[in-house]
Amino acid sequence: MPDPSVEPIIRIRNATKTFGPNKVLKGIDLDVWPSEKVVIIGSSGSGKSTLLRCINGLEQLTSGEIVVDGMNVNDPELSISKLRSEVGMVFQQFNLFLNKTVMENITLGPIRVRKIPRDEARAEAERLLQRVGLPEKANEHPARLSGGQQQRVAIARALAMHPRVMLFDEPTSALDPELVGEVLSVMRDLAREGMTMIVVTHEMAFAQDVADVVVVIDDGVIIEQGPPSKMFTSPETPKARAFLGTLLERTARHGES
Amino acid sequence: MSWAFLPQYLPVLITATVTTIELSILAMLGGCALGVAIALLRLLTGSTSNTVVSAVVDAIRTTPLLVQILIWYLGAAAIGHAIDPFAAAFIALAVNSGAFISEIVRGAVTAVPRGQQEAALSVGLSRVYSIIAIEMPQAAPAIVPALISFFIGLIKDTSLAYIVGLLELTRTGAFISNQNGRPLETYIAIAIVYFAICFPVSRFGKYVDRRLRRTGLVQERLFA
Repeated sequence: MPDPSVEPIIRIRNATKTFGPNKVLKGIDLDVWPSEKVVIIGSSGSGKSTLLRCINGLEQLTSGEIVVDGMNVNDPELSISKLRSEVGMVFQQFNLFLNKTVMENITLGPIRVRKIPRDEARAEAERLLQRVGLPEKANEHPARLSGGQQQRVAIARALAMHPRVMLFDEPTSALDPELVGEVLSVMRDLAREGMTMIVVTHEMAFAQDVADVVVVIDDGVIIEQGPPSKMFTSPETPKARAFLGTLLERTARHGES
Repeated sequence: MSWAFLPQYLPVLITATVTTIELSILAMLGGCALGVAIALLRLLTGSTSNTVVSAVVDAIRTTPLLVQILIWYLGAAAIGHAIDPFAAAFIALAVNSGAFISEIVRGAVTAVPRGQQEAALSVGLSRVYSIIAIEMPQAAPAIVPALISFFIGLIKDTSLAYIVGLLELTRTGAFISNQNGRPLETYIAIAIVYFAICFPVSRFGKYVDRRLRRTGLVQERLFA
């Protein structure tokens, strides 16, 4: 929770992003504090994924600024590789390197970017695989793993860079329902250990349990934010109420892992 | 038809075959190096260098190779750096192959799902590293068979070097038939030598294609 003596680890000010004629982000302001868990929800095309991609420099802002741990993302002098190794990213489609083994997927960044000796990187990868519950899969190729296992390896790959912040872009949306639980459980562990996390998701139970702040984005702007207790019971804006209403209803209807 | 004249030319034919094979392999290696370099350049830099490079690539792809060989040979002499026919043929074939191979490589790498590149960038790896170590290996099942069939075309195209007087197979055929007045038999013999070189390469290409399909990444990608 915000403490006046600490700086936010991510500060976003009036961030906009335009793709050709499309204004995807129309002025986003957001502070994320160390150890805070922010869950971003919003309908598809609302700009939530684009916001995440701007935070680790996969997309360039059109205007405004994003400062991550003192690094201005838009600064042309910035070492983009340093920024990215401090910000872990987990994708909807896992994006494991298909031509590499699980072990190589995890150790490539540490060896090539953090310049860690191979043995050390491998030892740490073993520990991370243990942590995500896949110690026996080190030498498999990604194609031989289930979606849930692939996503857990992807989380281990991001953690191997020792990031200060983890971004999750709909990490369970591409998974079969029975595989969602194992990924969320790894994410809950991570949250408990104090990782700063920004999670774009439709998993309302997860948001309810884990989030410090729930942020609702609609049409490129944040229409409302607050603690889950308030957001899920009495959101102020009609749009947030409508959107949360459909999500919660869907969760109630289909149940959740 | 009478073939009795042929055996005496065996040594000449062997030398010519060696020249053809040498030229083919060297031009292929040069073309691959150039092609990968051009593909990398075009993948890495956006539209700015693309307009220049793609104009050059288009110019090469839309003019006859025969004319290109002549231009390199005569052009080098014209600017005072005369080169021998082998060198002219090598440069023309390598540059021409480079233009085609760059498109094969670029197309195949572009077809690798974008998420692979984004994942590489997001752990701090560079774009160059991502292309070379992550995307190209995944594009290999598309690239390698295309390169092998391109190589067969290249072997046959070395015959165009006859125009600058290089004694490769075709030019040697002309030389033999001038001497003994049996052009048809001579060129049939020459065709058989080309076949003997290209056919194994073609079979090898089919084998590689099958292997890549069975064990390769094409299927893994469908899986994932």
